[in-house]
Amino acid sequence: MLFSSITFLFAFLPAVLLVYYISPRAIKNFVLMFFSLIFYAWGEPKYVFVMLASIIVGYVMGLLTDYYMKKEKIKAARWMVALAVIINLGILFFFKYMGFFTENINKIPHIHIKALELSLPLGISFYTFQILTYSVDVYRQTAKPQKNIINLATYITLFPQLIAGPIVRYETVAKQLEERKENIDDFGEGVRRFVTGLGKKVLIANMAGEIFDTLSKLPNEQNTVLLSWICSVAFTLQIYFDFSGYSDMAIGLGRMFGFRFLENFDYPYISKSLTEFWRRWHISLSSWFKDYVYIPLGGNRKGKAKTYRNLFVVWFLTGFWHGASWNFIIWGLYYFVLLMIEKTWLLKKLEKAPKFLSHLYALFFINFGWVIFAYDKWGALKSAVKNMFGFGGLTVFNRYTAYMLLSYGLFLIIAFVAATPYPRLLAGKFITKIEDKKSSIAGVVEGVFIICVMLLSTAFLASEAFNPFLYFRF
Amino acid sequence: MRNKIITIIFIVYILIFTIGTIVAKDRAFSDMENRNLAQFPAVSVKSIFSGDFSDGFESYMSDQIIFKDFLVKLKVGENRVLNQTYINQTYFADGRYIRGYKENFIQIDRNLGFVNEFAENNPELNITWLMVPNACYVYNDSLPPYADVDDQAMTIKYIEKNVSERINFVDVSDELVSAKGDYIYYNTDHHWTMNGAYIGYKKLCKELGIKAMSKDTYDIETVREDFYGTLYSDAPVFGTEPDDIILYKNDTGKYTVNYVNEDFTQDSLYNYDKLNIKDKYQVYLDGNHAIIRIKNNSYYDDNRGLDTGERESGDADKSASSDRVIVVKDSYAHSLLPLLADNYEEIIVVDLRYYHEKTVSDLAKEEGITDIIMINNIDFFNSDDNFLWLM
Repeated sequence: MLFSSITFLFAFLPAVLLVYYISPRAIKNFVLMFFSLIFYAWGEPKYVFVMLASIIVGYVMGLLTDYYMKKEKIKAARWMVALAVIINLGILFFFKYMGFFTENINKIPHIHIKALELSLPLGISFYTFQILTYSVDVYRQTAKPQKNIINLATYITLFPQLIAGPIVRYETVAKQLEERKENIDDFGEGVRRFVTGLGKKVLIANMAGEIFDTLSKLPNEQNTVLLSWICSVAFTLQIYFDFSGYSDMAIGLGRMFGFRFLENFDYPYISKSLTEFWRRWHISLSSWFKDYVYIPLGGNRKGKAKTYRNLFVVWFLTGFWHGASWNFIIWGLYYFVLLMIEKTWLLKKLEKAPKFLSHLYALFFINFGWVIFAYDKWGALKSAVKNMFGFGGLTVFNRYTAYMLLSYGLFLIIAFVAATPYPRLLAGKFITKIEDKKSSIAGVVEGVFIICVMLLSTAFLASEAFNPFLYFRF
Repeated sequence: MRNKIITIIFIVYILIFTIGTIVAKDRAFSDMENRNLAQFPAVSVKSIFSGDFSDGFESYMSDQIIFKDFLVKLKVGENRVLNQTYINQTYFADGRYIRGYKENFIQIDRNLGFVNEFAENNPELNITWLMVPNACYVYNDSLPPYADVDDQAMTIKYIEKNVSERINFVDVSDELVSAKGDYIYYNTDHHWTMNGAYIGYKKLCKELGIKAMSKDTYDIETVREDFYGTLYSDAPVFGTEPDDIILYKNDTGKYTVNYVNEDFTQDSLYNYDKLNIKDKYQVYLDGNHAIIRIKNNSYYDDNRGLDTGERESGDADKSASSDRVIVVKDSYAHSLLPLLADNYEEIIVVDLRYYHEKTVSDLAKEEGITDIIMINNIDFFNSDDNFLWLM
């Protein structure tokens, strides 16, 4: 099920909120788990069992790891955690990467392996990474093992973050799973975040996606250089508003049930370097790779050569995590190269450069990165890049370009502004100013805003307007 | 305080829609969107595990949600506020809806091939072909700036150049363009009004060498002022003015209209019941039918009001075949045929989208008819795939 759907908003959400809040404390986690399973099974019921298998493996291995750790049999504990990691990564590999590997091995002459046609279990990359944090955190003793399997299953299946992140670490919510207090302030903050995310997804990301969808399919007779740039920018906007919108909704929903997840996006498009971009983009993923791959590999403490090797591994995996396709690997390695360049000398230069220049530099390479990300077919990627840089034999401008600018120019400007922190800052100032005088009026003003966003989003969803799910490959 | 207020507002908002949707009776059809709405899906173990139930439930929820019509209009309203003028293949053009036109050369060549082959393989037939441009051409200057549409004049030129010499090709675009100040196309529907059809009728008669009835023959009546057409359904927006339905009624005419496959007969060219449904354009000859036989019972009456000159009542010299004609058409003809009905004793109306029992050439042979009139609008000719049923 998607958050951005009529079914979620007006059937699932009221049901889970009602049952959750009338249930006694003792079964609240069970209620959450139960509804999360329905949420997950909606549309593709059979893969629930794959997820349950992962949870059971994580649970049993966690207990065994802890058992051996307490007995100071470090080696045995290490085996247990290794087994948990291998099994869960194995499941991920089987469903997500098997097809990719057979396809590529089959390119070698005389080899023909029958490819399995498997659809990818929803959110498998997210929940597998979450289970891994549990296994590793228990081994590292930064978290206690969860004795109650319901609590562990609640953590893994928790519907707010189940299908599109953020990747919540076990240590972040370990305590909250057992003792959390829901209250009206958290709920209100949750509403604020959820509605913001819904608006970002439905009102901005989907429309940007529609532009990308139209323009990326445009025949060359109609296309122009300018349109191919608008097309790439539309995707850049779509993926940010879609993904961060999902994270906002996840964080907001978590708050409604008394959970606090960490932030996942921090206005990535205001970055002035790519290093900064990756501190602001999908924070839960990059910090996961840092803490569970980069640092265990030795980080930067074992000499330059090893540092580069470690970074290479991290960026290769980061790319590959986004989908079993070459373009994602290339996209990851693209950042490896660029970040290396920044690390060795460019970063210092960027700091001294005029702000707008470094900003322009970052946006250019971020946008170009998304072009690689957007096309998984080599031919499509090649022609998109050619068209953007004037090697596609296109004119710069035509009638249709003028029409598209008239139709979407205003929207694009709004989306650009919405990607910066300014609207939020201004709105925050405005609201606190009113609140200083009378706090109930501030609530009403905010309430009107919330109704407007909800109503417009409902309108788009009820009209069955363009509403894609981008993370089916993650 | 703030958090309390927005929590309450959020919960109330959700509950209004949840409870409203549960309480409100499910609708079978949306008049505004002109389509059937999804119903509650069948519940079974199989449908749940296959995912059919959840798909069905999602469609059900978004179709049956309370205030659905309002929400759809609100969505289009937002598109409009952002200056988006092209929604669901439809342009917002200066207070009217216009369906965009993009030339499809492959289809045009295919269809033209069938038409030409039909004409050349049946040398005994006299074929007259009326081609009607769409609002996209006639009201081209109302389209939003830089709108990406093709020029129908080019299509007409292309057809004119390549059509068989055996066919009398009639282009009525100039007459329609010079009458564009009149109410000749609907604002919310993709058809022409009966005023537009009258212009087409006059031109057609001129080319056929028969005399068109003058406008004063008719009692011209606006029977409805609340017609929201198909283009409105594609992109409904607040504050749209509905269209009028205008009928040209010849009160002295007596007709028998037989809808052959449906096996029912009416004595009027208009089915007034259809004025009460959503698609009021169906008032003309009851909408789409595979084959209709229109008999003009007053054809030989002395007082039938037809100013015929060359074709006096009971004129025995005239061969029977020119009193009878086959019209091969799309829905643009529906509002023209009630006018043409006065000029023939019998018109057999065939719609190639539905009439696949026999080809038009076989039908003509069987009926002993040698006059064929084809009536098409360009958009239809550019997109329809049934012209092979001519031969």
